[in-house]
Amino acid sequence: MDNYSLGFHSETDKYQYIAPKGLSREVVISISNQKGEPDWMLEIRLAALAKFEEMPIPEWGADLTGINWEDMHYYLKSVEKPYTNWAEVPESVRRVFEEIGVPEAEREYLAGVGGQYDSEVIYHSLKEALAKSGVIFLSMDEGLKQYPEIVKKHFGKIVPYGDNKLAALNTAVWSGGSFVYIPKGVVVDLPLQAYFRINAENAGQFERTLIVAEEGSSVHYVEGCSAPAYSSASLHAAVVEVVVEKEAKVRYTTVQNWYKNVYNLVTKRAMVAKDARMEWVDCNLGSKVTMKYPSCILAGKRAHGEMLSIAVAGVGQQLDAGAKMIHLAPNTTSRIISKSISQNGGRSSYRGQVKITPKATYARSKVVCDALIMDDLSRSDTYPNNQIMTGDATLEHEAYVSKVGEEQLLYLMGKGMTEAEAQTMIIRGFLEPITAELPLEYAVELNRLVKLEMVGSVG
Amino acid sequence: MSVVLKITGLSASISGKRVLNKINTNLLSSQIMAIIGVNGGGKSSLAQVLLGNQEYNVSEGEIFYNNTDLLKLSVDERAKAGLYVAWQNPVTIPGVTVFALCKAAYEASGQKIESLSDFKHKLEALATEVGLTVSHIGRFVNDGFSGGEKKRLELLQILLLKPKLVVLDEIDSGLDKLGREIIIKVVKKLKDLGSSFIIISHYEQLIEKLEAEIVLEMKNGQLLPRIS
Repeated sequence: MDNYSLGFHSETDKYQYIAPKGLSREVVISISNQKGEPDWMLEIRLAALAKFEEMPIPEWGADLTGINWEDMHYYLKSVEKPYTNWAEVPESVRRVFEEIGVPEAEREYLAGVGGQYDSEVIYHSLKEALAKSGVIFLSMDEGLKQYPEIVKKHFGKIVPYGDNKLAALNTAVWSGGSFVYIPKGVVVDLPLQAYFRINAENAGQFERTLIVAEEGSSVHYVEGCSAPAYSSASLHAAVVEVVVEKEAKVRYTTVQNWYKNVYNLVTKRAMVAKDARMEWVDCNLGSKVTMKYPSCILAGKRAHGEMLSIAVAGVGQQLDAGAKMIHLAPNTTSRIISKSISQNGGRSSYRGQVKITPKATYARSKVVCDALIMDDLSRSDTYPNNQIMTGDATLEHEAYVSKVGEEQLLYLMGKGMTEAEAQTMIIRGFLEPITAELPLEYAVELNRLVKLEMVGSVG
Repeated sequence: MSVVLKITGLSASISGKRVLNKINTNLLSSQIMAIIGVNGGGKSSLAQVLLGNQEYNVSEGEIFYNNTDLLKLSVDERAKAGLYVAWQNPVTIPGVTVFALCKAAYEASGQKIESLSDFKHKLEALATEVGLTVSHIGRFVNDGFSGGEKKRLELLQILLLKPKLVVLDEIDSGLDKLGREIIIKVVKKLKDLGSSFIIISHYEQLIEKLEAEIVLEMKNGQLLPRIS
C-alpha cells in the first residue's frame, strides 16, 4: 500500500468554509446559499435529500458498511472562485497540483484543464482558439451561473436523483465537477482534462459533470483522481451525465487512483442519439471500494456505445465495476471489454447489463470479461445480466479467467528478468488492449502505477 | 581454453519420475556439444534443469558454470551470468512486443541502451539477419508466429545478447533449409566470439555441418558417448 506516491496532504486550516459533519437540510441550504444558486436548483437539492434519506443503502454490490455517514464533511470550500491564471492559485494548493503534475500536462498536450480541490474547482483554463469556436469548459458551478438555461435543460435528466441512493446524495450536495459544451460540428482534437483531489480528512467529494456534445461534434474528456493517505474513510460520489447528439462522438477516460481509504461510488450515464458514438475508458486502480457501472442509453438508430475497463484490485480492495448498455433503437451496437486483475486478497467483480428492447431490431452487442487472478487469496466474479427482447438481435458474451502462466514467467526470467519484472511485463501485456486506447501520458502513468502495485505484491 | 560447464553426477526428476541419471560432462569455451537421442530420453530435461526450472528436482550432483555453482542461482541470475536456453516451444506473451522483450533482456544482461532509436535499428538489422521482417519487432512475442518464426526470434535474441553458454533445444524443428543455414551462421559467429553451445537435435546433417567437438547420446536419462 505504501507505494502510493500521492498520499501527502496540505494543511486544512486554509479553508474558507467547512460544513459541520453530517447531512441535514441546513447543510444543503447553506451550500446552495454560498453558491448563490437559482431557486430551482435548491428545490432539486432538497427533494434529492429527502429521497436520499428515504432510500436504503444498496446491499446488492460491494460492502458499504464501513461508511460513517454522520462523521463526514459534505462541503469544504478552499477558494472563492476558480482561478484561470496558474500563478494566482494559493501556494499550498498549487504545490499539491504541481506534485501531481497537472500544470505540466496542460502545457504539453491538453486543450483545457480543470482542477478540483475537495468541493470546489480551483483552477480552470481553456485554449483560446477553442473558446472562440464556442467550446465551453467550466466548473459546473460556473456553468450554472453563466449558462443556467443549458444546465436546467439537462441537469438530472439522464441521471435523475431517484435513480439510486448515491445519485440522490450527489444531487443534494453536489459541488464542482465540469460543465462541457461542444457546439455543432466542432471537433476538439486534444483532450480536455479534469483533475480531482480530495485533500481533507473525513471529507466527501460530490462533483457533478455535464457534457453536451452537439450534432457532429467530437470531444475527449479525461479525468484523474487521487487523495492523501488518511486512515479514516472518505467518500467520492460523483454523477456524470453525457448528452451525445446526432453524429457526435464523446470519449470519456478515467484513471482512478484514489487512496485505499476512499469509497468511490459513481453514477455515469450517456444518452446517445442517432449515429452518435459514446466511449467510456475506465481504469480503476485505487479506492477501498468502487461501485461504478458507466452506461450508454442507445436511443437513436445506429448509436454505438463502448466500454473499455481495467480494474486492479489489491489487498483490502473491492472493485465492483461494469457497464450498462441499453439498446432502445434499431441497429444500435455496443461493446464491453472488461479486464480485471486481483492480487493479495483483492476482489474484483464485473457486473454488467446489456438490455436489448423490442424496438432495437438488429442490435448487436459483444461483452468480453477477462480476469487475471494472481494468487489463491484473490477473487474475481462475473455477474452478467443480459436481456434480449427481440429475435433478430445478437449478443456475444465471452468470459475468461486466467492465472499468470508459470511458463510465461519462466520464459521471461530465462531472459534475465526478475520474477517481479516478468510479472509486471505479463500484466502490462494483459492490459495492453486498453492502455493502447489511452492518451500517451496516461498510458505511461498507468504502466507506472501497475508496476508499483506489482512491486508491492511480489516477494 | 577454460572449462565453461562441468556437470558431475547429476540426477533429476519431475513429478517423481527420474529423468536424468548420474550425468557427467565437461564443456570448454568455444566448444560445441551436440546431444542426440530418442524422444523422452531426457534431452529437454537437461535443458530445463540448466535453465533453472523448479519443476525439476535435482536429487544429486553438481553443475559448475565458470566455477560458479549454477544450482544455487535463480533462473534470472543464470541468465544474467550469460546462460541462454532456447526453448523447444517458445511461449506466446500477448500484449508484449518483441521490442519490449528484447529491450528488457538486453538491459538485464547488463548492457546500456543509449538511444532507443539506435536500438530499434539494431533489432531491425538482426531481424533481417535471422530471416524475420522489420514488422516482427512491433508484434507481440510469438503471437501468431509460425513455428519457424518463433525459432528465428530465439536466434535474434542470441545474436543480440551474445550469451556465453547457449543451449539450443531442437532449434531446427520448424525451420527449412534456409533456416538451418541461418542457425549455422549464428552458431559459428558466436563461437568465434568465445561462446559455447549445447545443441539438442535429431538432425544429423546439422550436427555435421556445425562440426561439433563433442557428440553425445541421451538415453534413459543417461548421457553416453555416441556409438556410431
